[in-house]
Amino acid sequence: MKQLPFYFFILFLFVSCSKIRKAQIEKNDYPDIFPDYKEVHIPLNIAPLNFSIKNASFIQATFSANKQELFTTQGEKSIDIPLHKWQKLLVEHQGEQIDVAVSVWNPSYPEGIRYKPFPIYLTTDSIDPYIVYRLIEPGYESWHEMDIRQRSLNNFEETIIVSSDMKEKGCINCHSFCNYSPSNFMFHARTSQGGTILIKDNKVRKIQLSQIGSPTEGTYPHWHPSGKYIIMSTNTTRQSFYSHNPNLIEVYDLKSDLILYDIEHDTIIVDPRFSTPQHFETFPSWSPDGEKLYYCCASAKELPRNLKELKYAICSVSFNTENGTFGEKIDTVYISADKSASFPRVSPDNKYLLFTESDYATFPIWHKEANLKMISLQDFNDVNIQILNSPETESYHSWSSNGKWIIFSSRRLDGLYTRFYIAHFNAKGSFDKPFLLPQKNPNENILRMKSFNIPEFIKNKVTITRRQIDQIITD
Amino acid sequence: MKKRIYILLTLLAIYIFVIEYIFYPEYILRQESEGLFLTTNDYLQNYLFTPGSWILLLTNFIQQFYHSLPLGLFIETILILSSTISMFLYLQKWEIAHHSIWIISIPSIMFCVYQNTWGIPALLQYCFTLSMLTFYISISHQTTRFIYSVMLLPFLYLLIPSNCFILIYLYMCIYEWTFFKSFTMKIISISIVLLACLYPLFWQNINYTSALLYHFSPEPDMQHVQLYYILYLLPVIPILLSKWKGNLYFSYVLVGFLFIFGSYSIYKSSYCEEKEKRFAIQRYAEEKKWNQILQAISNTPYENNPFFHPYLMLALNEQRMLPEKLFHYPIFSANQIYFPANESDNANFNSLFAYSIGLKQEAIHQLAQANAMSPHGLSFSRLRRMIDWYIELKNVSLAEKYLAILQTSTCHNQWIKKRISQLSTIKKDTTFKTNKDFIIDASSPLIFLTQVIKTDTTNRKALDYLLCGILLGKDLKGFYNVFQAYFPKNTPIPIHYQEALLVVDLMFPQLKVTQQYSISSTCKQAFEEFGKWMAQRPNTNAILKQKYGNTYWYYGFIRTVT
Repeated sequence: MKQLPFYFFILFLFVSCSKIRKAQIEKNDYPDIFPDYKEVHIPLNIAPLNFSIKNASFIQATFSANKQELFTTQGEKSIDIPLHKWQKLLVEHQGEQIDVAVSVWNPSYPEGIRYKPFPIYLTTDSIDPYIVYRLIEPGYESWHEMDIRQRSLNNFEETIIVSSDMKEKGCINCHSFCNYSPSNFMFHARTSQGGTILIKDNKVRKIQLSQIGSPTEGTYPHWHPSGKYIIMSTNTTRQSFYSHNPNLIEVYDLKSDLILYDIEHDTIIVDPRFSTPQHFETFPSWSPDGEKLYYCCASAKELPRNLKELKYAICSVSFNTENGTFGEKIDTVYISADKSASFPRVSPDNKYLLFTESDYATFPIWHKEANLKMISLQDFNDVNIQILNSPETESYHSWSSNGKWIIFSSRRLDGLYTRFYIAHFNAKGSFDKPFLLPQKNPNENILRMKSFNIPEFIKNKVTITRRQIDQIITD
Repeated sequence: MKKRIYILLTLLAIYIFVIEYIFYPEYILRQESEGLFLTTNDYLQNYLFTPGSWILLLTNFIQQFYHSLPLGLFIETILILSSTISMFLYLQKWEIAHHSIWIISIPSIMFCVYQNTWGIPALLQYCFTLSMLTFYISISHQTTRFIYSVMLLPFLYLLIPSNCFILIYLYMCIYEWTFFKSFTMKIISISIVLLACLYPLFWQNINYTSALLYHFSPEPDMQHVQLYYILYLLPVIPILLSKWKGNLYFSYVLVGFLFIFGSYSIYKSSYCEEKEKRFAIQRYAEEKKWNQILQAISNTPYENNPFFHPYLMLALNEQRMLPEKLFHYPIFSANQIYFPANESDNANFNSLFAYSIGLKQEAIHQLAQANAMSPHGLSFSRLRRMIDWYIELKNVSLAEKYLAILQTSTCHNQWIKKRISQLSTIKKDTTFKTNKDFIIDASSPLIFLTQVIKTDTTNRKALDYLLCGILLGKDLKGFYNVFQAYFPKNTPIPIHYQEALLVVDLMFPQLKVTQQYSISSTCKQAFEEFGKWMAQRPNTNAILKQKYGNTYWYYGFIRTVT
């Protein structure tokens, strides 16, 4: 009886300390892990890169740095790296390479196979701690439920900022943040009671743009870095379905113009040059210093008949923050005879312009050929970023506040469900191999029935509550 | 006494089983096909912390086992019988069960009668409520009762809708006043009721949800909710009847009366009958049982129901009988080729229609529409169909994705194994025939079908739909133009087309139709005779209907929409 506590203690030790196994076979190849985190460059504050291996019955992963083993973790179908061990590893070995030696036991190798250790490169660059995105079923005209959510990049915490179903609040979309600030952002709520929801210094209000001078409600917004203005396009959007084209859907604008919302004076400023029927203007975006506006522009065409002739270029115009006026001269920053550009985004150091390119039209998420493209704003030459692209769609993207990371949408996993990839922008002015946004359970990337949409970095957590937002929307 | 209860329960079980088997077999099967239970995060997040959702989650779990009719009938019988058993256990506590056994059969009969409007969540909620109340009454120790009632708060709020949750606490309060009569607990029970009323507000501060704070029915869009909650007054009866001695034989007579009343109500319910018919037709269409669709609708009053016309046309076309038998049915418009996609069932049909004419991509689009408009955002039958269609399209990635999702359910192991072995033999196909592609214009069925034919002139099913649709619109010139352009040469001409060509020949003799196309002498003779009878109208109306009621001629010249 007296020995009982001792035996319980031994049992506890036995259960808690899993035995390290040794695989009998060695293979000089990297393991086929999902997601593919081999040879990626990661920020010093990213969540653990949990991964799985198909058909595995047992996986063991040993993390080492400078040939010194740090810790080993095990799992049946996937590796779940303990958060505190991972964070300690990132802090203590920033700027170094870590090696991950994976051993797998499966029906083909019941005695275990040990693969060649693969490297992960820890950078000294941090990443913004949160991203905000929308989750929605991948396309078609109806949807069941959508949310705008925030996710911590340091761990796996995900919370809902605002949620909607078709009957309740209608579509909620086009969130935009002022200078990565979680307390200054906006989005549109498209229900009959909705409008443009503006959160400024954590105070919510609803605006009906059409009642303060806009010809219609706004669509794609971008908040001026000064916080004084929001540029928006106003789009009359249509959707068509292909019978056989693997692109499935074509989304196009019958009309699109630009409007400027002056937040302080609660008025709309319309520059007539950006609201002519002869041209479509869309996807406006400010330079980081707020002195220039970039936007996509195309000559108007009869649609959908002449869809394939519709090519958007990227233009820029200077902007006077004091009086909210645009310069006289409009420059064409990028134009192509056989490609169409979308989502121009200038890097925080003002040196590069990253955008999405597709064969024609706008709304590239439905174009399998859509890829990311970047030009230097010094000499307007192409920068080779092929490492970011895949045979499937690459589309919406955002720069982190320090300009060292981008996050972008890609459908490379299955061609339909959009997932986020993060890539490091290194000191040489090129990108490193992108990696999939880590999930606690890697299979979440497969099992999740919604697409990720419009990723935006923010510097801290959004603290305004869902209740506050819901009250304003339905008011 | 026990023996009588066992006999009653056995009789009730047989009664319920027979009622379900005769009147609700399609309802049973539809529980699984329209249901969905997964263990993905996406799915569970919608239920775990949403008030009143656990009962829906439990329902979804149970519905999985309705995939075979015998198993579904068995489970449904057990569930409905549980309401009787729960009521019996409850009444036993009040010691009036022996002369009030007719009361215990009321819930079962009512759930049978209102099967189509009160689903499994309503049934489970009722059983849970009675069980909790029974358990409460059985606790003699007042502190234990107090702890039980407080600890149940968070559990009950997540389990059942808030009005039922508050009702349970109201009952507990009533018991303290009438059954236990403990002074302390009388006061405390009132406080607990108030706490129950305020609990939803408290919960919103912990875990805000934009779902209704106080909601009323156990399932979305439930009908006859007030009548359902009248069942919740049954637990009050023992309090009122506690001193009544009652008459045993009177109780038996009442039970018999309830059996007859229930059966008669269900038998006479045209709503139930039509619902069953709709479910059956939808299932036959999904399972490609075209003959059964025709058998179920032909020569029945359902022929005149516009809801069934798209299914009729689809079944006829799949059997290559559309241009042979279309005018045997009271179909009057090409708009009945498919539904406007404003409801889940409509979009579901449209996906079958698109698939039948070879537009698999559009079929999947319509399936996605049906999903978006359905209660769960997806269903087992549509998920299975998506997997099979993606396998046909050789889209390995998406087929694997949906298989991985389906694998998180409980009853699909064999089905999934078979598909995995199919997938292993498929190579991904990314070829795309640009010459067959077009942007779909679904503003009208005829425009849509014309697009299909123009890009694929060999698509006979689409052609028959188009030609028959044009005939429904009585556009003979249009019919002739399409027929001439696309009908395959040297192919036997179906009867309705021959009938129409004869009329074209009559109205446009310059086209010399009968010289170009082979029309049978029987048809020509019949047309001549038709002409003679037509000349003698209205005296010959009856003969015309009898002899030519199933021809295009009767439709084109005489039949009007009734």
